[in-house]
Amino acid sequence: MADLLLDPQAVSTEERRHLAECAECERELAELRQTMEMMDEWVAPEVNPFFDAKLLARLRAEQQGQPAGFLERLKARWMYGSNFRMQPLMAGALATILVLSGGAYADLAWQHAHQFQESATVRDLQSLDGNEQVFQQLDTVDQTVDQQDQDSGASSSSPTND
Amino acid sequence: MATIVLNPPSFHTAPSERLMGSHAHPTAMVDWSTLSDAEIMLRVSAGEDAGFTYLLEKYRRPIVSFMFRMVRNQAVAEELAQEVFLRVYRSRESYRAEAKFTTWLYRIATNLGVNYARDTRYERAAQNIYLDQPDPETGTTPDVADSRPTIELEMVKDERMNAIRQHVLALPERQRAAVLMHKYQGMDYKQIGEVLKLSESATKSLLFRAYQTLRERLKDFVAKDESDK
Ligand SMILES: [Zn+2]
Repeated sequence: MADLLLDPQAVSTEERRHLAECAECERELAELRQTMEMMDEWVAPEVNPFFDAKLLARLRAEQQGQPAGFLERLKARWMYGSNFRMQPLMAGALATILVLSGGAYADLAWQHAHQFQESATVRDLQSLDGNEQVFQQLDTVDQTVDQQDQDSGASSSSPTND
Repeated sequence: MATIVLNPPSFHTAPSERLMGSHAHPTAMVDWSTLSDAEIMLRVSAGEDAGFTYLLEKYRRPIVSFMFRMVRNQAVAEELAQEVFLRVYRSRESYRAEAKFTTWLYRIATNLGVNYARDTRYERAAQNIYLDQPDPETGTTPDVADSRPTIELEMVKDERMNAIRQHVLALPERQRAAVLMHKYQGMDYKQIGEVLKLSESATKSLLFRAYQTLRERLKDFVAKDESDK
């Protein structure tokens, strides 16, 4: 049945013959197809015309803003970090060093920030793997709920499982 | 008309004004449509930002509508879609051509959508029970009944529409993503399996289970003459 719906080429002649003779299966397949057809009604709205402009502005801001932002955060942490207190004099010296070596340092910081972003995506993908487990748990929960639905609603009792 | 707004002149009339940065040679006229997405993405990672705007143009609508059906709210969908493209751009240098571009794109999108849904799970449940917010598409609140006969038909349609959305949203996350990709993104179960990292047979049965659930829950809305017996 799954093949009939999702992969018609994979359906054996045997299965086809069964379908031609079995009213029950024929009805189920027809209902599945009708359901899918009905879902065509769900049309997504148009995309906001400023979508691209907004995105490109964000990209630009990100590229221009990040090095400074990163450096700023770094500086702030060095100077005012809670578990690492510096003598004011030392903090001042550090700040001077940062200013003097600004260009080169910003470059380095930018590289760093860039790598950081990439690894964010890698983490996303890894978290999809991590989600596998959650998915499975949720599926299990859902199946349990399904089961309860079926148990309580005996009136709607056509086969849901394969 | 939309095209004019979507592509501010600064982007097209001044090819030397690149998206950002100033390294690399200005992009010569490239007919991007002759290249595969993977080839384009490799050129983007080599610094040709024009390829990125081409991919954005190509996948903007599919990704926004995928996100829209994932979260049922257009503003949120657009925010999430922006995030998808930002991540694509940010990680352009780590893109490897062995992964099909769309697989990679939809994997990022699915992941963001699923995480969003999970983060707002209780919020949404509460809204569904207590508030029943205005429909994000039509701006109408389903429960505020208007008795004018001219809109009776519309209401039946709205009700059906609402049921479709409700029941798709109620599917387990992975089933929902699979159905959306299959039904609305024109992907087959093999491609979907790659996105979700599932075997072909597992994807097939995942999809089938989802459609069976929808058939069951939407049976009252399917044309009567066929489903009655
Ligand atoms: Zn049969």
